[in-house]
Amino acid sequence: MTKDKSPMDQAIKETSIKNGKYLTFSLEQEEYGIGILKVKEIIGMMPITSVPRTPRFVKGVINLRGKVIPIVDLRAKFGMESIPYTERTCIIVVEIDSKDATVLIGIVVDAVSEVLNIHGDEIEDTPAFGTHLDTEYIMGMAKTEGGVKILLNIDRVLSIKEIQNIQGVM
Amino acid sequence: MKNLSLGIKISGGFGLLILMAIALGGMAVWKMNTVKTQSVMLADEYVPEVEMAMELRGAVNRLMYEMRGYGYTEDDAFYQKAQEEMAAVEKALDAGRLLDEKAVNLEKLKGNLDQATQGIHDYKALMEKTVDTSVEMAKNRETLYKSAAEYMTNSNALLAHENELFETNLAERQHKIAQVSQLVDIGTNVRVMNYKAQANNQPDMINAAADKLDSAFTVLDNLRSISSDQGDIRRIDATASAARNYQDAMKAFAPEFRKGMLGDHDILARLKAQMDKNVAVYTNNCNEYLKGQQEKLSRDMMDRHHKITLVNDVIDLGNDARIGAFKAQALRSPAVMKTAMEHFFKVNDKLDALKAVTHSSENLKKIEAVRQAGNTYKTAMSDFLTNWIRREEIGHQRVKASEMTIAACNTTADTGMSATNDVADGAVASLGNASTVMTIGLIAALIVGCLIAFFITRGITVPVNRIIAGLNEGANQVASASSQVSSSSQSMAEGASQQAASIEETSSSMEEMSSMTKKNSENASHADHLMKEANQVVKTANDSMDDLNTSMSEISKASEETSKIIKTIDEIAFQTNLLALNAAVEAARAGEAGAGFAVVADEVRNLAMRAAEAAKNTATLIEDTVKKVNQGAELVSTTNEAFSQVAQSSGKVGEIVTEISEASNEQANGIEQVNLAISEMDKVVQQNAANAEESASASEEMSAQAEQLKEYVGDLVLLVKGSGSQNESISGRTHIKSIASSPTSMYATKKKTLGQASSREVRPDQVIPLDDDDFTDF
Repeated sequence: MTKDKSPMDQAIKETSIKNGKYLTFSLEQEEYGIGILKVKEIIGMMPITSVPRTPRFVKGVINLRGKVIPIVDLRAKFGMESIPYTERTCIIVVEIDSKDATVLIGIVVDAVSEVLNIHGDEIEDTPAFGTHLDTEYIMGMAKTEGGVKILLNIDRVLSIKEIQNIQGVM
Repeated sequence: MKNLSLGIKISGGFGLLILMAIALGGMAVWKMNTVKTQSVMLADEYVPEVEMAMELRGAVNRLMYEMRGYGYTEDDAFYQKAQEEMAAVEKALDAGRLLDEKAVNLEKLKGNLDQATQGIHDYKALMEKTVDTSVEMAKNRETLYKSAAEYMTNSNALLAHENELFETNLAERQHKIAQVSQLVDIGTNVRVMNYKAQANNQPDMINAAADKLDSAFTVLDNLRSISSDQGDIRRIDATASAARNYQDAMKAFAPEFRKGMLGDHDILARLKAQMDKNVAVYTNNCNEYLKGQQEKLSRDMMDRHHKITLVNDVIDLGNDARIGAFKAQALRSPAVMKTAMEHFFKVNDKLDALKAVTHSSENLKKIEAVRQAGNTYKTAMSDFLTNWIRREEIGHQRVKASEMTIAACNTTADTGMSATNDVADGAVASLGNASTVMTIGLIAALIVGCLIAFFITRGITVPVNRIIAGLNEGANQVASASSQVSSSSQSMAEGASQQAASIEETSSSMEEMSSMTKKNSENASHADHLMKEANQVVKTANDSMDDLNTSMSEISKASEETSKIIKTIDEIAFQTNLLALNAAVEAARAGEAGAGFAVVADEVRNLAMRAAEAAKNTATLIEDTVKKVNQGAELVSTTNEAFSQVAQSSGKVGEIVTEISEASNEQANGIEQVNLAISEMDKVVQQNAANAEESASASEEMSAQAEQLKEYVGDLVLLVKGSGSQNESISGRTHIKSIASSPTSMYATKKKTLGQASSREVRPDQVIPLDDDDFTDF
């Protein structure tokens, strides 16, 4: 069943890579977007169990309805200044495609904004900042009324190795 | 003094003055007599003594002058004058002796005269000696001149002779040299001609040359005649023989040479050699002779020069000695002459040297003559010098002798002068003394007279005046005092009645005051009541303010609760939003099937957003309300404080009003007491008025008695001072009357009289002036 569906999903994914709905959230006064299909769930902040010997951006794990999910602080990951969590702080649980399986990871953001329908021609490719910079984790830039929203390729935000490491910790 | 009677006082004063005058006069007469005696002594003895001494000294000085002149010039005119002066000196001495016999006081004069006489005697002897020495010196000088002349004549003759010899020798030598030079010329010419002839082959010319040589023989003969030296003569002979040989050889050579080539060469050569040899001998001799002559010439010249120098030295020395002698006489210094003489001793050395180089007997004789003259000169000079020194010594002795005389004269004159000075000083001193004593005595007498007069006058007038002044003053004081008493008792009566009137006025106003005070008290209690009411009102206001405060805090609490509810609503909205988003995610995952669900989710989200917005607004409103409530609470507490202050102040006002009420009551009591005192005062014042009237009448009586006393005093003044000072006492009396009749100007006049009284104590003559009239009356 899954095998039959996979080409269709693939197609949907292909078409919705650019043209489609995005969940937008704010981080350090900037708006970011993640493809809505990559989002599993949005939850409010809850107690995080910290895990020793993990990178600094890995905050720990939560128990989501019987599932243990690793939590990554996106501020820490992006090298931003960390702030204390507020009542607006949310965890977005995303599905990340690994080599062999999809992994659920929660990312901590400042606030969740809305679900936006963005047209394909409103999205522009990532500008080249230079050969040295790795811009693979950015899918594109969405031009909206409020300004530019950075669309993240969440699969690439965390490298495979990191994911493996996190999994190893689990 | 005070106990003595007036007559004794006056006669005692005059007696004292007369005694002083007698003492002064006696002293002056005594002093004058002393001065007169001294002056007579001065005129008769001391002045003639000084005069004599001065004359003697003058004569001796002139004598010394003349003698000194004689000593320098040896002129007899001076000596004559000196003898005249000597006569004058002796005359002065005689006068001195005469004075000595006559005088009484001149003790030293005799001794001094003897000393002067001794000096003059010595001087006379020395004068004769001086004349003798001068004559001898004149002789010496004659000798000096003569020998000097001889010395000079001989020396000059010697010099002239030497010069003459020098010239002769020079001429001779020159002549000889000229001859020899001629000889050489001849020889040279002959040789030249000879050689020329040989060269030109002219044998005749050789003969001519041989003939020319003849002239050389005459020259040689001349030379021989004037030469005296043996060497020279031999040389001349050798030259002559050489010349003859040369001539012979030439004469022999000529014929042989004429033969020319045919001539015998040997003979020619021999003759040529002979010619050459002779020529050489001739030339050599000539040259030697010439040389010898030149040497001799220079030697002779040197000798002559030496001699002439010596002779000149001799002359110079002679001249030096003479100059020295003259210079010494001109300068009057024997030392210069001595030096010149020592210098002259060198002449003998010079003459010896001259003798050694002189050969001619004539000159030697002359040198001896010069030596002799020099010796004579020297002897004469030493004699002259000895005499001169002796005369100088005599001169010194003479000066000493004359100085002795002069010293005696000076002593005499000094003694006379000092005695004169002493006498004059004594006279001046005694006259000065007399004058000073007289002046002082006169001044003292004047002062004593004035003092006596003053004291006697004073002794009489002062006590009388004092008595009158005392009486007058007493009467005045009594009069003024009585008038004062009268006026003051009158004014006292007036014052008493005035006091009574004013006391009545005071009493009525006190009653008014009493009623006012009562009213005050009532008003104060009313105000107290009102204040209490106000206090009540303030308390009520305070209570309601407290109520307001509590309700405000309740409002505040309610608002807080409301805001909590709002927060909950906000949270719910947030959760709803999350749910809506999750729903949207799910719808998206569902794809086409979830499209409708997506719309619903969106709407739900919108609702949630709106709820959140509303909650936010409400929260803002509630916050505002809370803020305002807090402000109200603050205002209430401020108002509360103000009310409590008002309450306090009203309490204080109440207290004060109570105090005022109490004070008013006390005042009313006090006023009643004052009223009582015033009525008592009224009584006393009335009694005072009665007393004052009584004293006024008593004083009037006193005043009349004082006036009578003053009249008695005026009579006494008239008695003492006479009618001249009557006006004074009368004016005094009218003055006092005016005081008594005008009590209004009492204070001014009282001051005046007091001032007079005080000044009277210091200067009594102001009240009773002591002018000239008073004195004349006295």
